[in-house]
Amino acid sequence: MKVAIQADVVGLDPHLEGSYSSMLVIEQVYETLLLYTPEMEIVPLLAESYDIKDPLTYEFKLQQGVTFHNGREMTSADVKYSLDRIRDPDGGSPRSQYLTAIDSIDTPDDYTVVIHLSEPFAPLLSYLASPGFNIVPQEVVEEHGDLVRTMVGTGPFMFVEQIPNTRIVVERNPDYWQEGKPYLDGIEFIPMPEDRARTDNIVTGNVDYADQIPQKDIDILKDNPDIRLEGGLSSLHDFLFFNLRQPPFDNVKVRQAIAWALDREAMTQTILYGHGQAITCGKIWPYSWAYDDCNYYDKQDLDKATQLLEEAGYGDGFSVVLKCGAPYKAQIDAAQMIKEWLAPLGIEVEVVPVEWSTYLEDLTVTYNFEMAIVGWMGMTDPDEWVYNHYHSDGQWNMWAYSNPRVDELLEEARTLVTEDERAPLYAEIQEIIAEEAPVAYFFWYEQYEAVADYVKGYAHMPNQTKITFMDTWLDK
Amino acid sequence: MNPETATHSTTERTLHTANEVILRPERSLTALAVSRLVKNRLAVLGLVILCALIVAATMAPLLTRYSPTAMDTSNRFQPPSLEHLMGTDQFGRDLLSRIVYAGRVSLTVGIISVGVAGLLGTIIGLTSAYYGGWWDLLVSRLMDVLFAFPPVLLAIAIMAALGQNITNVMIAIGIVNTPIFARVVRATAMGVSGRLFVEAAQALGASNRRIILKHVFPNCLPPLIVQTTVAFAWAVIAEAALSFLGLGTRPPTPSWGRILDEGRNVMEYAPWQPVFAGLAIMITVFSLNVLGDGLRDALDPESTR
Amino acid sequence: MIRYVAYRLLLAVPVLFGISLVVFLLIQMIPGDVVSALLGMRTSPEAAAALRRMFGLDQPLPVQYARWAGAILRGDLGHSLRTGLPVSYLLASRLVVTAELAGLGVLLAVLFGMPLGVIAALRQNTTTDYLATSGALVGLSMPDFWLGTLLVLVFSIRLRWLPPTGYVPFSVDPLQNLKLMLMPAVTLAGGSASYIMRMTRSLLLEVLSKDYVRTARGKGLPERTVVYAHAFRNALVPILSVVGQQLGYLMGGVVIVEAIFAVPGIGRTALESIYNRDYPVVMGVVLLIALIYVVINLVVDLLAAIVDVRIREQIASPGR
Repeated sequence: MKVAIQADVVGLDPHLEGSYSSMLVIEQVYETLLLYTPEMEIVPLLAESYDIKDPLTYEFKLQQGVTFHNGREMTSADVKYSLDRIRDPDGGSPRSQYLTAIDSIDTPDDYTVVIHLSEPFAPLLSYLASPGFNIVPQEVVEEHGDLVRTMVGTGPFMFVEQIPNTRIVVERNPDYWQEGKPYLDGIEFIPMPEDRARTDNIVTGNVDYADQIPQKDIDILKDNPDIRLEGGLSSLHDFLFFNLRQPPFDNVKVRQAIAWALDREAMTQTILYGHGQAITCGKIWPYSWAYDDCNYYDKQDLDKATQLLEEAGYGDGFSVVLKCGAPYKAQIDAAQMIKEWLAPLGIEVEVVPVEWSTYLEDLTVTYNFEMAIVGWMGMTDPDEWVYNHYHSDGQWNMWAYSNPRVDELLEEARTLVTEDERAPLYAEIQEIIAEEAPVAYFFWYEQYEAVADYVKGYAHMPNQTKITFMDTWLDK
Repeated sequence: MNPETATHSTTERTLHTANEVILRPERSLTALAVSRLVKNRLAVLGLVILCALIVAATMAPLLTRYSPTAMDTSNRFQPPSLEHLMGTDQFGRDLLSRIVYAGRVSLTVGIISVGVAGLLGTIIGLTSAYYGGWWDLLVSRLMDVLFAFPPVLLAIAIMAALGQNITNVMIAIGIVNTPIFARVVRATAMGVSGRLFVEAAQALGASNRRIILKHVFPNCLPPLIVQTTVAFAWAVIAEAALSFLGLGTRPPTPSWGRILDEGRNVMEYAPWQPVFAGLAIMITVFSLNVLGDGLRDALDPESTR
Repeated sequence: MIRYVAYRLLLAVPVLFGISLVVFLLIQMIPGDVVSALLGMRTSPEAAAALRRMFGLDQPLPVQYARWAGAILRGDLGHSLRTGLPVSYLLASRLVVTAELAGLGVLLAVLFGMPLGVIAALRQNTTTDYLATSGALVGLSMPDFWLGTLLVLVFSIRLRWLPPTGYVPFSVDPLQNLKLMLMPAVTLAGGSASYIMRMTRSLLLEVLSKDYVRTARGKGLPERTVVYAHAFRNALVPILSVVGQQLGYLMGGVVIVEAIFAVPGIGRTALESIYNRDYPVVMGVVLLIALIYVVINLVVDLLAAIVDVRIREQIASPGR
């Protein structure tokens, strides 16, 4: 099956890579202990079953007879090795932070893995089902130093070749442990950065599957009888954030005023062509059990904004620089709309698109910004969404927000185990954030793939993974 | 007539004119050129269009009903109508006013960048031709280096280094345009410097600066003027190209290149947008080119038109 | 002759050296580096620092430049910081694409420009001439990114005759390759054809007014022979030098055209590598482009020199 993807794949190491395109390929070749279904439920994969013996001890029983592509059977030693490799702080994995709660890992026998935590950590299962936490064979890593160019996993497809800027090919694994699957003989990933190219290629039939269809083409493609659009609401969202380290953004009323000045519906209509959903409360998406529909910013309210500014002492307005990422048209569009809305409030905005490499430095290293726009994707556990963004020590807390009550809630929510226990905490967190407005959310994107009509068995995954390729076949 | 004296060189022809003037002092060079120019109908058309553009750009607020940045999201992608003569873009902004205001950007960038390049290039060209020596060698090599870059690429690299704003656009285009001015001026000046009246002036004890300013420079004016229109045309296209690639003016400031790029992205919804934007560029450049052609012929007595 | 060639090549060396220095300094001035682009947002300062050390980006500037220059002299262009591939491999594969595009562009430009220029010269001051000349002026004034956009609008979106972007190697699918190259080549050729047309016309007119042409006419030779055998042949060399110059100029136009039509050539490589701060690739690309310029100029000048000799011979014995 020919798949047109947006960006070229650079590295292939499942533990070191962070980019979306690399993950697309990685998840065909490697597997994780657990798996998400299209309904966003966690089910076993490489782990045949699991048992939470107590909040600090998780025991996994592995599937037997699973072989790596080099023929060797997967054992608990591989699981231990893989997880240790991820959580090694010097290992270079961008996900090492996520497993800091793991104290040690035991392998009492070849098919049993016991994970001991230093403190209760509810998101653990969610991470073990997410891309990037795959099981790799130790000897291959040691032989090559890393897996950036070599791919040896347990997955339904095996690596064939990678030609930069041209294609990456994987083929069917005949010894795959789930009998019968995969159905496809192979997958060819073709990078096509131009939106128009991907759309055109699926329409003309040059590819069977086009990923990341831009919002503006969705309505155009909907009418095409040879193509199906699969997709729905995704976790991708754009938002505006303030640098709380400097006035006037250390003043909560100023931030609230700006948050009230945004017309989120209009933004969804204009920037996303209606294919998205405005975020009016917190950013945890409707698919999650932690979703809160408090509907705080239900509409644009310029009067309220003006009033808040007056109360804050900025009735005469001020001028501010709004930075956004130059490669992202949606961010630039949003910036222009925000500039228009803030103008009558007396706030003069200068829009500065910044090239990506500089932008990252500005946002995460030098904190050289006043207001900025960025997009983010979430994994599936709410902790992953909010902890690092709102906690005082959070890794991604670029806006320097600090609220002891929120810290307390975040820490507690991670240690509780059941969804019922955690949900009210996350609701409160999101409502506090909405009110205090260190960030102002715009919308969630709907994300669509265009699939030829003869592609069957494919199911869109809301978390943007493509693991359902193993269930896909071509009916032609 | 010996074929070897009839060359293609503008320099030679200009010197011919200069000599002509010296022998017939009752008709000044300027009057001669102007009369020739006026006879060229196409060139006059170009001049008229150019003036109209300048007027339109300066009087932009008076000519347009809408602000170029005012959004009207319920009226997106409107085709040209009585309400919006050029239609609206994806934010509902009026395209006519955006294009008129964008003219300001293009003309400003053109004038300033060409002015800078012209000034710098002339100084470099004059001094290296007159003084020669190591300065000439150094500067010529430097100009060669700058010449060896595709001009668009050089402009992009400079913009990336300096950052994206309109001042830097002017600087970048100015730098890229400088070598050609330097070369043209140098070539002309070298021809003149060897002439009799320069030696005479030197013998009379005139200072070098005086000689350069009063004798050498005026003879460089004709090719310089022609080059200015050519460079201006290129500057307009270059600014549009940079904006098209996302490196020019900052949003939401309209620029023809940016409007074209935005229109290109939404061609399925608003095909009129890139058409109008490009048309604006083309008309401007056309008038400049035509004017430049006319000037070249007017200032050159041996044209084969 | 050989001495002249050698002399010119030798002269090119300091120029190339100067170019590499200018580009190197320019790039250093650009804020941000390839590391942040590579690692993305979800990373740590330690990982970034480790990567920088690995790439040698923490060394002082003169050291970095010296390292690079030394490697070049050994023939090693280095490796892309972003993909790890050898720069020479990248450039070679991309150059093939640009060569095809530029070649097609020049071909189209000459095929359309020259005949039109000849016709216009021969029918000077008639309606045909005015039409052709004005057409050329319009063609010159059209920005190539506009022409490209219009072509895509008409032929891809409205008529659906041609695919809008992309590239397929000729060896893989020749028909598709040509279909994909058609619009980019026409876009490139637009301005060039106009320029060639004008130059052809004016050069031919100039030659037609020369003595030896009058002589040939005076001898009673048919107009056709006069035009083609004498006038055109002598105008050919300056025209060829213009064509050569256009080829060099096209290397610049290629940057924009490749960007619009997503053609993976060296113009696009140059753009991408600047965005990605992929220093070795930028240096390699720029050096390559400059080298191409120098070579083209050299060939053009050589051609002029060779045929100059022939012109002198002709004048010495007219009526041959």
